[in-house]
Amino acid sequence: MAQAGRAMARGAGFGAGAWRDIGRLLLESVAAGTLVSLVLGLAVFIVATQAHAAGSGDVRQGTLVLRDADGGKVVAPLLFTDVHMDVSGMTARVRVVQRFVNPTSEWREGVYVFPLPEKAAVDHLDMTIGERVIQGQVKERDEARRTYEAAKADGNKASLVEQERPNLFTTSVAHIGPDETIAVAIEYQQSLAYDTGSFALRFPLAITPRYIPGSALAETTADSNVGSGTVAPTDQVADADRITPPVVVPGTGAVNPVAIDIDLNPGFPLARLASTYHDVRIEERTGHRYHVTLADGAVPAARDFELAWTPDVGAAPGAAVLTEERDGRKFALLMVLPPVTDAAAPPAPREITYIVDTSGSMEGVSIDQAKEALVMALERLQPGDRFNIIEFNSVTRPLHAAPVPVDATTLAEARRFVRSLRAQGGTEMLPALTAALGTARSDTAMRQVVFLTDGAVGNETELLRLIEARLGDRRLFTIGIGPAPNTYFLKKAAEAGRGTFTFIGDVREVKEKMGALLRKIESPVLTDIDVVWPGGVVAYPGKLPDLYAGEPVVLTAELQDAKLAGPVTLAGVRAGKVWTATLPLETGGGTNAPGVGVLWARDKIEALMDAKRNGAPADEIRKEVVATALEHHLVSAYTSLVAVDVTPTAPPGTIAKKSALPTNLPEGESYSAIFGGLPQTATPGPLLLVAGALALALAAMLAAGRRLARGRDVVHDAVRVVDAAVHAARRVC
Amino acid sequence: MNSEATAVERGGPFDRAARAVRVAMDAAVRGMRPARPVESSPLGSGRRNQRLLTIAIAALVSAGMLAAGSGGYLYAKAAAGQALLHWAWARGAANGTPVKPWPWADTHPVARLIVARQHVDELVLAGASGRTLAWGPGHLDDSAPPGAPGNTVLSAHRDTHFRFLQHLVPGDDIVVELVDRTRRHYRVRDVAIVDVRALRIPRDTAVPTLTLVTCYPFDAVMPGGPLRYVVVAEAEGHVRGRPLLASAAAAALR
Repeated sequence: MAQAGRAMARGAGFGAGAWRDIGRLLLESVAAGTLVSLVLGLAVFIVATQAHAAGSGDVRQGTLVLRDADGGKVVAPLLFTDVHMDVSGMTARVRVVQRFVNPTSEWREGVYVFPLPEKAAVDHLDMTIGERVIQGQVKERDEARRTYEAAKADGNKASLVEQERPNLFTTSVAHIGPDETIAVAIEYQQSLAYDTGSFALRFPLAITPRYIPGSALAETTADSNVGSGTVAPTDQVADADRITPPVVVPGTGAVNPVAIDIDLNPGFPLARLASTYHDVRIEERTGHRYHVTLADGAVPAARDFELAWTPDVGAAPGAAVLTEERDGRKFALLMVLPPVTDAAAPPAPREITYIVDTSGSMEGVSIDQAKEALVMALERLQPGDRFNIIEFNSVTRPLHAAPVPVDATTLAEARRFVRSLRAQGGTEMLPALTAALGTARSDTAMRQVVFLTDGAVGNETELLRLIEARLGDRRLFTIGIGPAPNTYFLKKAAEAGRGTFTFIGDVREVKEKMGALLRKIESPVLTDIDVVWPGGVVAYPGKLPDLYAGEPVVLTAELQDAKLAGPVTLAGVRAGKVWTATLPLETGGGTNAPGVGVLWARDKIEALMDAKRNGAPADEIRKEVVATALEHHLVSAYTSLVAVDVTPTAPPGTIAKKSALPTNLPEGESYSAIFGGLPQTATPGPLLLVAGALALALAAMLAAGRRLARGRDVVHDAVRVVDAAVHAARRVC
Repeated sequence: MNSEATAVERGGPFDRAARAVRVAMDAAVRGMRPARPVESSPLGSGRRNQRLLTIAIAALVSAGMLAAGSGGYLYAKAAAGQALLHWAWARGAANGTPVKPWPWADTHPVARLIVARQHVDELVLAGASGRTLAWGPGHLDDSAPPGAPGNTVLSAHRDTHFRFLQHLVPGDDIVVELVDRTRRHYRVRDVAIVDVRALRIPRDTAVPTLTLVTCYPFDAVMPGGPLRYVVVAEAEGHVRGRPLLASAAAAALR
C-alpha cells in the first residue's frame, strides 16, 4: 500500500519531459513490436511450412490418399507451345505446336487437355520425332483410339487428337523416351469475328475449371478411353473425366509457356491494331502487313489472347465473297454488313432479367467485372421497364420472385443486392435458367434475359436444350466474364437464345463493352434474313439468326454447280421495312481462298450437331458427321486425328506411365474458391500459440542476456571491491 | 569469509590468496568481457541501448502474449460456444423451436453430434462459414438437412471440434440428435485423406449419409493446406449404395 502510494506520488510529480519520454517509449514499443512480430511470423512460417510439408509427405501407412491420377508425386512431361497464325483478310490458318519433353528417366505417355477457338476447323496433325515427321490421319473416334492403343502396345510412338467439346481438345502422346522431345503439331482454319467495325482474333490459352453437376456414376468403365481428369463421370456429364485436367496448385509455379507469332495481312490499311490482354511487339511491313509477337517471348498459358484491328475509316469492308475450288467442288464464304440503322425508335418498355453467376470460379477478378457490368446495366434501365436479378451458385437466389417496375426504391435495392454478391460454391446453372425463363408472360413488354457467366460447366448440351425449349418470345444475351470463359457455350447459348454475346476479360473493358452490348440489345437491326443464290447451294447456317447493330451476316455455302455465277441477293426486315443487298458471285479465275471448303464442312457439322441436340436421330447424324469429317479431314465429336510412327522405339514390354499434364488456373481466379468447395477447417490457433511461445522465449533470452551482462558488471565491481579491500588490508598490515 | 579474515590476520598467505582471487576474477571478467567499460556492453552501450533492449523485450512479451492470447481465445471461444449451445439446445427442447445461443447470433443449432466412444457431445450449427465454425461444427447449407435423405455434410476445425475424427475407425457408431429430439445412428464406413482438388462429395446419396470433413494433417501449425480428412458414415439399416466419394482415384478407396 505504502509503495503504491509512493509510486502514485512519483507519477504525479512527472514533468512534461517525462511524459514525452513515455510517449516515445510507447511509440518505439509499438514499432519494435511490429517488427518483431513480422520477423517472428516469417520465422514461424518457414518452420511451419517445412513441418507441414513433412506432415503431408509422410502420410501414415495404410491410410488412403487420393490425389490426381499421378498422385501428384511423379514428374509429368513438360509442355511448350508455339502458335503461328497466318491471318489473311477474313480467315486465319493457325499452327499450334505442342512440344512434349520428358525430363524423367522413364518412358511416359502424356495427356494434355487444351482449349481452341470454338469455330476452329482442325484438319491437320503431324508428329515430329527428331528428324522424322509423321503425318496424322483422320479416323472415326473409336478406330483412331484403337489405332493409337495398338501402336502403344507395340512400343511405337503415336499421337492422337480428340475433340471433347468444339472448343476443348485432348492430345495424347505415347512413348516419350527418357529426356526425349516429341512435337505434335495441330493446324486449323477459322473465319474471323467482325463486329462493330473491328476484327478480333481470339486464341484461348486457359480453361476455367469446369463445374460438373450431377452425382457420380457407380460403374467405372475399364475402357482405355477413360480420361485422365480429376472428376469422375456423373449422370449429367458422362465425360467429366475427359474435361477436368489437373490444375497447378498455386505457388508451385506456372507451367506450359506459350509463344505466339502472327503474320497479319488484313487487306486494308488499319486505324488500330492491338492485343487486348497481352503485351505484344508489332512490326509493320510493306503493303499493310504486320508481324505480331508476344513482347515477353513466351507467357504461361493462363489467360486468353486476343488481337483486335480496326480498318481505316472508309476502308472497312461492307461485303466480301471468298471462294475456293477443290477437287471439282466449289465453296463460298460470304460476309455482308448491313448499313447502320437510322435513328433507332425509342425502345419499347422492356422486361429484363439479369442472371449472374456467383459460383467459385467467378471469385477474384471475374466477380468484380460482373458486378461492375451489372451496375452499368442497371443505370441503363428506363422508367416503365421491369427488371429482376437472379444470382446462382449451388443455389439459385432471385432478388424478386417476379420482375418489378423500375423506380428509385427498386434500383437502390438492386444496387445493394449487387454489392453484396460473393462468389462461392458450385455452378448449378439449370435451376437459374429455369427460373429466368419460367416467368409468366406479361402483355406488352419485350422480354430479355442478360446472362453474366464464365460458362465453366460441363453440361452445355443440357443447358442449350433448356434455352431452346423455354425461350418463347424472349431474347437471351450472354456476357462472357473473366480471363478464360467457355466461349463455345456462351456463343451457342446466345444463338439458341436469339440474342448476341460479348466478352469482358478485364474490369477496364466493362464500360466500353457493356455500353456496346446495351446499345445492341435495345433492338435487333435485321430480322427474317433470307438469301437468294443464283443456283442450287447448300448453305450454313440454314436459318440465319437476327442481327444486332454492327454484326455482319456470315454464311458458308457449297455451290452445286461449279460454274455458278451471278448475283447473290440478301433480304431482311430492317426497322419494319424490307432491306435488300446484292453481291456479285464470281467464279472461274478470280482469287482462290484456300480453307473455305473446310470452314463450310465445319459449319455443316455444327448444324448437324445442333439438329441432334434438337432430337434428330443420333445414328443418322453420326453417320453424316463422320462422312463429312472424313472427307474434309476434320476432327469432330466422332472423328479424331491419329499419327503413328511405324518404327518401334520403346524397348519391348515397356509400359509408359500415363501422365495428365496439369493446366494453369486462369490468372485472377481463385483456386480455393473453385476446389475448396469446403470451408477452411483449421484455425490459426496452433500458429498463434507457436508464434506467441517463440516471442516469449526470445524475450526471455534477451532478458537473461541482459541480466548476464549486468552480472558481469557485478563481477567487475566485485573485483574492484576486492582489489580495494586488498590494498586497504595491505596498508593496514 | 571467515577463513579470509583469518588469512588477513596471518598476513603472508592472505596476500597470496588475495592475488590468486584477483587473478581468477580478472580472468573471469576478461573471459566474459575483455576489459571494457560497462557502457559498451555488447547488449547495448549506454542508457539508450539499454532502453532499446527494454523496449525490445517489452515488445516481444506483448507480441507473444497477444499471439498466445488470441490463440488461446480461439480455443476458449470453441469451448464456451459449445457450453452456450448446449444450454440453447436444452431450452429449445422445451419449446420445440430453434433457439439462438446468444442474442446476436446469426446461426442456431440444428443437430447434436454424439460419439460416445470418444466422449464427444457437440452441437452442430446451421451454415459452415468461418464465423460459425469458431463456435462449433457447421452444417453445409447445400447438403441434406440432418436426418433427411441424402448426404448430410458437417465440417469443423481440425484443432478443435473435429480433432476427434482422427480416432474414428470404420464401424464406429455416430449418433445425431435432431431438433425434434429423435436420434439417428450412423456407422462409419470410410475414412480417407484426400486432396481437396480430387474431392467431390455427392449430395444425393441413395443411403442417408453423414460426411464429416476437417483439415489434415491434424497437428500442422499452418492453416490452409490442401488435404482434407473425410469420414463417411451411413445410416444404420441401409444397404450399401453408390460410391460415396467420387474422384478420379475413388477406386483406390475400396
